[in-house]
Amino acid sequence: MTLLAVYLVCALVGAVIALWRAPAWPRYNLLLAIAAAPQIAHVLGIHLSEMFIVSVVAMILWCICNYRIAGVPLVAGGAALNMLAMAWHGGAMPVRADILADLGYHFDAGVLLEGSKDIVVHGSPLWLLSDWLPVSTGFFTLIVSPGDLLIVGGVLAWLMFSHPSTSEREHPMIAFHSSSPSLEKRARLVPGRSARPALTRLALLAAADPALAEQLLRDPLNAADAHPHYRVTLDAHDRATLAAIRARARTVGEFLGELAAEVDGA
Amino acid sequence: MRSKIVRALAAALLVGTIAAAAMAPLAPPPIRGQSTIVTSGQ
Repeated sequence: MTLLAVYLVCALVGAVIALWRAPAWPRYNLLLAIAAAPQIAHVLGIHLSEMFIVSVVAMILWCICNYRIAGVPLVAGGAALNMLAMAWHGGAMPVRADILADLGYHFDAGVLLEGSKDIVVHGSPLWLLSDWLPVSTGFFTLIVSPGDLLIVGGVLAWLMFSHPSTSEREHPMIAFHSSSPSLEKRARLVPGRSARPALTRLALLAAADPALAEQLLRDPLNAADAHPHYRVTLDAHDRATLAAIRARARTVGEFLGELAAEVDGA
Repeated sequence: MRSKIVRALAAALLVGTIAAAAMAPLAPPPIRGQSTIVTSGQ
């Protein structure tokens, strides 16, 4: 089972790189498992052409779900090249007999090779996408396809260059940085009725009427008293609060934000 | 450290699954004779 050993080596390399840095995590990985199951069955000698379609559909869906992650487009490209060649040959990867002969293996066309996804062919219209690139190491020889190389590049790009989303980050400093001041204020909200009913009424009126909000920014004390329909009675504490907010706020948004914070008791 | 190990295991599983699902290299065993890898014909 040399091919399974190759997959294991790939997994080990991935684990080592993931120990060093945290990549972004793809979603819907069950689709990957569904795509892999028929392929592993093929390697183990169970050949079901119909299951190849399941692999293709699951792989396409997984790539679509994760195309924003660095490296996934490369993986998708490589998988597409491989699966195109395999689809042309009934779900088996073609490998040319003359390439095998160069390495010392002599087979007739149509032979399925044990422990692999490959079928021997004399030629193929898609031979450029087939296994034809020999890679020799000190321990064993691999014959890979251009799609395989793209997939390796894509997986390395994913492991080395993708960035986890904020929610996935574990570093406390990054997590602290991600919380905005408004979220912190919201966390300090006191449940129940506001202790500033007049300011609450004023904030609701200003939120409903942008013109009133602009007047409040320019002259908060007079604008609060001069509303044409709703009278807001401010006490000295409310007036002092409005004056302080006016001194700090430069825009209508800032004014309303500060007013809401006072109303909420933040 | 524990989270790093979990992360590494998850990455290993994911990379292995991607390789199994999408890669199709041929890894012929060392040549010992003509009966090494032929199993069936079509």
